[in-house]
Amino acid sequence: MLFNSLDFAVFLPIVFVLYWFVFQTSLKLQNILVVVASYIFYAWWDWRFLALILFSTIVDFTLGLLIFKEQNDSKRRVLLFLSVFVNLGLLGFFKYFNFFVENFIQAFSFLGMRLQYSALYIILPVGISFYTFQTLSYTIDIYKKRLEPTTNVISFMAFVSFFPQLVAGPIERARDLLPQFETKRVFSVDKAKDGLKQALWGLFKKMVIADNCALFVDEFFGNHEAYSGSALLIGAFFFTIQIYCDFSGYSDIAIGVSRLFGFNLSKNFAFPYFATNIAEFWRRWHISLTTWFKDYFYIPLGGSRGTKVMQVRNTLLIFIVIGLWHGAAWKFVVYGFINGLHFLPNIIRGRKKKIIQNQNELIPSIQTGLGILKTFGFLVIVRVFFRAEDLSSALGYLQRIFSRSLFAIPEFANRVGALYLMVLIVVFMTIEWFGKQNAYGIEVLGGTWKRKYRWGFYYVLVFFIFYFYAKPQQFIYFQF
Amino acid sequence: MKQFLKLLVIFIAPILIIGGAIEVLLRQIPNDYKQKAAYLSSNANTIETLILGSSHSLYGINPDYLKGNAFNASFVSQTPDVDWAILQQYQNQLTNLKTIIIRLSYASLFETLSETNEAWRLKDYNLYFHLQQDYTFKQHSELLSVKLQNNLNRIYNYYVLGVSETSITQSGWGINAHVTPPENLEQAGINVAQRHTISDLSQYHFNTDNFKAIAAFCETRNIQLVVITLPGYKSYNSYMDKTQWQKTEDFGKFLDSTYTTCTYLNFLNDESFTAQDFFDGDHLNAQGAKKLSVKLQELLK
Repeated sequence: MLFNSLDFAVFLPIVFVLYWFVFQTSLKLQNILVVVASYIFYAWWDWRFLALILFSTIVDFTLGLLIFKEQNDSKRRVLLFLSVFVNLGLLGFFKYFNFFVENFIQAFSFLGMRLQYSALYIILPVGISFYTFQTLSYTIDIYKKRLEPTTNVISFMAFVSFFPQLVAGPIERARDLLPQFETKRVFSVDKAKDGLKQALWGLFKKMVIADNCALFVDEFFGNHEAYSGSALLIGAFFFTIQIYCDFSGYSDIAIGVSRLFGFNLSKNFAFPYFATNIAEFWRRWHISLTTWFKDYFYIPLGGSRGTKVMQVRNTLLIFIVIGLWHGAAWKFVVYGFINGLHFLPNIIRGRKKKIIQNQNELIPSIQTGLGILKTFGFLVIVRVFFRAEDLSSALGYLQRIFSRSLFAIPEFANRVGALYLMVLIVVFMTIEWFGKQNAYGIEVLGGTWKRKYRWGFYYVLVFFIFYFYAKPQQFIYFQF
Repeated sequence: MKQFLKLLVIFIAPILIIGGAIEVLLRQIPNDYKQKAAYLSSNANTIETLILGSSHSLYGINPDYLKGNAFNASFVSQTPDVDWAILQQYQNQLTNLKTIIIRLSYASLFETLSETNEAWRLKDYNLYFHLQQDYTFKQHSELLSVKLQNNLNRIYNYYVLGVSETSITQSGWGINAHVTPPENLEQAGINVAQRHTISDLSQYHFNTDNFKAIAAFCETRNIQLVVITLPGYKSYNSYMDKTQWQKTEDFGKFLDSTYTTCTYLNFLNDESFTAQDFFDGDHLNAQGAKKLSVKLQELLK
């Protein structure tokens, strides 16, 4: 079920009413409702993969308890290995099997050996990368003695399948979300109002900005040979905006909807396009994933300790793995690698990247402005790898951007529409700029206004959402 | 909680009221679906020839050139399941029906309206034909099935500019077709052939079942069924996928040989249709429609 669909518009009030009016007397019943609602939410997409979530839940619930009870270190390690094996095994099969086998065969063909293989038709279950990482962190935290396992299977099922964040995050840590299922939730008007506002802002980002950018992006990336470098640059710019509004829009809706039910999810985006360098960007982008990799991959590898060679290795590895997390394709490897390369000069020179302070300023200083533009410009280019069909298309796309035609007047259909969209993006980014100290763009906007003006603003957002609403478009991160 | 719900209701109420008003305004606008449904409801018992199908038959067969009372119940993107649903809906009222003409086009067996980008048209069948082709709430509303942007344009065009949305004659023939062929008819034919080439063949059995149901219905009621493949421009025909077309043609022949009241007529490569008879690669214009309808009438004698 998509957040931006009528199905969800019917589903959400029903669950809300049942949650607060029918089952409010019992925490257990509320949690059961969350589990049932979450399974229905997921089954709307494909009920067959519910078995996978259930399997993952049962395995990690059981292994969590066993790891905690076990005193023998080597046995604990075996149990942890089992959890990692099962979770990554599922992920590996559904997401990476064909990729690795195909590359394995290609590697053999270089040696003159021809292996026969027809790719398996494997559907990627929506959200598998998200809930797998969530359950994995649970058993690792128990193993590391940072967390005690829950004995309440319903709470754990609710933690794994919680519908607002099930399919595209934020990837929650058990220590943050699980206790919320074990504590009585109290309805808060302010929290619910704030949640609705954040969800509305998320819908606006997705349905107005991202989905309109997609119209141009799909055309440019689908037929890049037909366009000049200048037009393709506009396409790459639109994609940079699209992916942010699509994904952070999803996170805003997830966080907002969770607040309606009395839950607090972690922040996933912190206005990443206002970052003044790439290191800062990665601290602001998909925070729940980058911190996951930092805690469970980068630091165990040695992090920024050790020799410079080790630091370079760790940095490149984490970015390549982050790239691969997005999908089984070389373009994602390259995307991660280029991002990682950006860190190397500072590691080699032994300097920490200077973070420009004073980002509270309303008008950015020249230094801040240049830093933001430079970072954003880098992302516009590097994201071509992310969006293109494959590596060769990405290279073809970039080759055309960096050709003489970059200076040609861009020719493409609906240029007026693109111009309107640019204006909308400028207005949107301005709102985000003024709201960048808050959890989301419009958190405090209109807080001091009279209600009629504040609501007027919300009605404008609603109008825009309906104005552009047609067939609900899937969120980009569903494919990961 | 009460305070929150109160605020929520107050906030949502104007949206619902405005939405409801827009829905009412949209439903009042006369359109082709409404007009055809009204005609069928009140005149079905007088219809002797019923034409079913998609835009090919909507624009390509003009009932005015057929003898007796003929009516064209085709719509853009209509697929065999909807043809069959329309026939079922009016079967008891079609007491005088002698002939059904139904198109069998290149894509007819491989597409279902609900699975295409034109699925929004299902709401017209639900709202005006009461066919219940889709049970979702969205497809029972003008407002929710189409972009607000388009809906506001429709309201503005009809209520402010007075522009009519209907584009059919009294007998249901589509008059929207351009009179002259486009400058590059050759390319138009190639483009549309590529667009109509379907890689997913999963809808084949569903569609052939609907055709068979129509053929069986006609046989039982002793109604002549004419399954017709309309002319296509030469570039359209030559860029068709051979397998897809072969399956289509074979099925037409199968119907012809299996059902006693069924005849299959294939005009696809009929050379009497020239560039002047098309308004694009696969649609006849008014002149082409007249030519085909007259031919049909001769064959139906």
